[in-house]
Amino acid sequence: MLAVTWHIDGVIGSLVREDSEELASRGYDVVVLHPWHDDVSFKEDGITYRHVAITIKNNTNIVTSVISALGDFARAMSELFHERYDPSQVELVISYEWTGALLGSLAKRLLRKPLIASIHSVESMRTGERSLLSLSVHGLEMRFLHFSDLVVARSEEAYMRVLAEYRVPSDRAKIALSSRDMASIVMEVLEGS
Amino acid sequence: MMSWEYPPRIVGGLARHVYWLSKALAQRGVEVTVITLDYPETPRIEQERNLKIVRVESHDFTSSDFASWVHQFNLNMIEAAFEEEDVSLIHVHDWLAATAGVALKHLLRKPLIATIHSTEYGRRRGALHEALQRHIHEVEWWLAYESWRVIVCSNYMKSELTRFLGVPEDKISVIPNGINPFEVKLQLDVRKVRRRYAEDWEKIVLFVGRMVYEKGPHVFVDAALSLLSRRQDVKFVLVGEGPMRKDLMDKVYRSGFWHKFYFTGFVEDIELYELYAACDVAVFPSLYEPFGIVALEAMAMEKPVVASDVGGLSEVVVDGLSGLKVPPGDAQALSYAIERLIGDQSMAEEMGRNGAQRVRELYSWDSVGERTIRLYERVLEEYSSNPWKPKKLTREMP
Repeated sequence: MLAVTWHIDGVIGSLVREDSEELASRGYDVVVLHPWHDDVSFKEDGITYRHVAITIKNNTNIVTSVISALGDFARAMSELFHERYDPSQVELVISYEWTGALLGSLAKRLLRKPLIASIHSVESMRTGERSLLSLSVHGLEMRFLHFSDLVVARSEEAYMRVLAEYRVPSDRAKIALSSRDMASIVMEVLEGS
Repeated sequence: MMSWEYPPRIVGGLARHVYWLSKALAQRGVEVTVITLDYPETPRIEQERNLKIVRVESHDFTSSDFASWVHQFNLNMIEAAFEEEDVSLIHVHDWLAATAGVALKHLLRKPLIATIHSTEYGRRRGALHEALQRHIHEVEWWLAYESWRVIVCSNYMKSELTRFLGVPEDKISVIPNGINPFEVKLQLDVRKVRRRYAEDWEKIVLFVGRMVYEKGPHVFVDAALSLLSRRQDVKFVLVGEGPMRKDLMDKVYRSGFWHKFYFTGFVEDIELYELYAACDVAVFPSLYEPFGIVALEAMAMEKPVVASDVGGLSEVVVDGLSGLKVPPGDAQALSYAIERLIGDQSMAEEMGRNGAQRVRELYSWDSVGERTIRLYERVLEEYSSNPWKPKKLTREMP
């Protein structure tokens, strides 16, 4: 299982860790890919954390920060799947928020495996602005939610917005209020595939 | 090959460079796919024998600034590249396609070659005050760092990359820009063209370039006004668009010599070549110039040139042979150099002939294509003996 996230701290970071621990407790091997200051990997509580050193540090906003990190995430995925692991053994890619979905889209293309987008919040929940940046983030959310094979909302509010605002078909959207729910959804997907 | 510009989307010199280079490579048997941006009423995919052009959407998203626009169209470039099969190497032009190029390099594990046509540090003369400028500078560094080899168009640019981006000298290949002299040979009535701009007794002095500080249009206008104070049998034609145009037009108007200037704005290629053919001297007073393709265009049309002794222009123009060189920013020296050429027709004609010969010998696309293929072959040979390749190991997941 490959988990891709832009955040390893805060609320999203906690979700990533809890989901990974739950999946690990059910016997899955999980590799978490996240930005850091170096390119090392280590194992903790049965989960492999693969740091991704971010090259471009001068950015104009969150959109340029995330997209300009694509090359770094590609480097890390390349190292993982061309050198360390057999890519055919990866069953699923889980991404966190639009940032993770954007970066995780590379893994979906490279590995040709399903991508599950975990969505804690969407842009309209985070800001009341209608700035160009906000519209830009909204557009990227739209693009990568639709690129994902399944969107898992992590709250009722997020679920409602994923369906109503982003027009994700209800057969490709689910809700998981806990890591246990998330793990069950992952298992359903794997059983179905 | 990835470039944000490709005809008919022409922003600067990059579009023409990629167009002629991709054609030259394809003619020599290289299978080339150019991934570039869309343009109204232009097909998404074009294929002519072994040259394929793929145009991706450039405005199917919202962007809050230039950098996020660039990075978002890079997402589309990555998508398009994934549809291509059997990629041997990736060739990126400038920072604007760097994100896609670096990501593809790692995902496909294929060598990346970058042509860096100019640098942000050079364009800004080291003043990187804004976040966007620092971002571009950093992306340029990254592109050079990630590339197997970096191509630049002049020794001047090579030194710029070593000084400003810390690129090791032995990683850089100098391959000049090319020009196709046959492209610019036109059947035209020069006298008729001249009469569109000047009286028969007037000499025509031509400036071609964007109206931005680094191209020195203000130096040209100062030199022109200085020359006009000594003789009035000259007409100055400025071709190009840009933010300095209006201020320069105001300056010329206030000088009282407004009737001695033409500001044409952007012109189509055909008109540009007519102007080259009609002028007596072509002037390139740049303060920063990585190469100076416009000087080559003038030389190909057998015109003597006056150019700043700066950057790539310094390498393109041989002082006293194909033109005259003056210190950058020195309007007085420029005005006297122009005067010298318009005052000595036989010297001007000889310099024109010398310049055309130099263009044919050194700057044909045949030669540029050949040198680029040799570089590709060298990189692929190094790659073949390098363990960094796509692999599918059978090790267990942890």
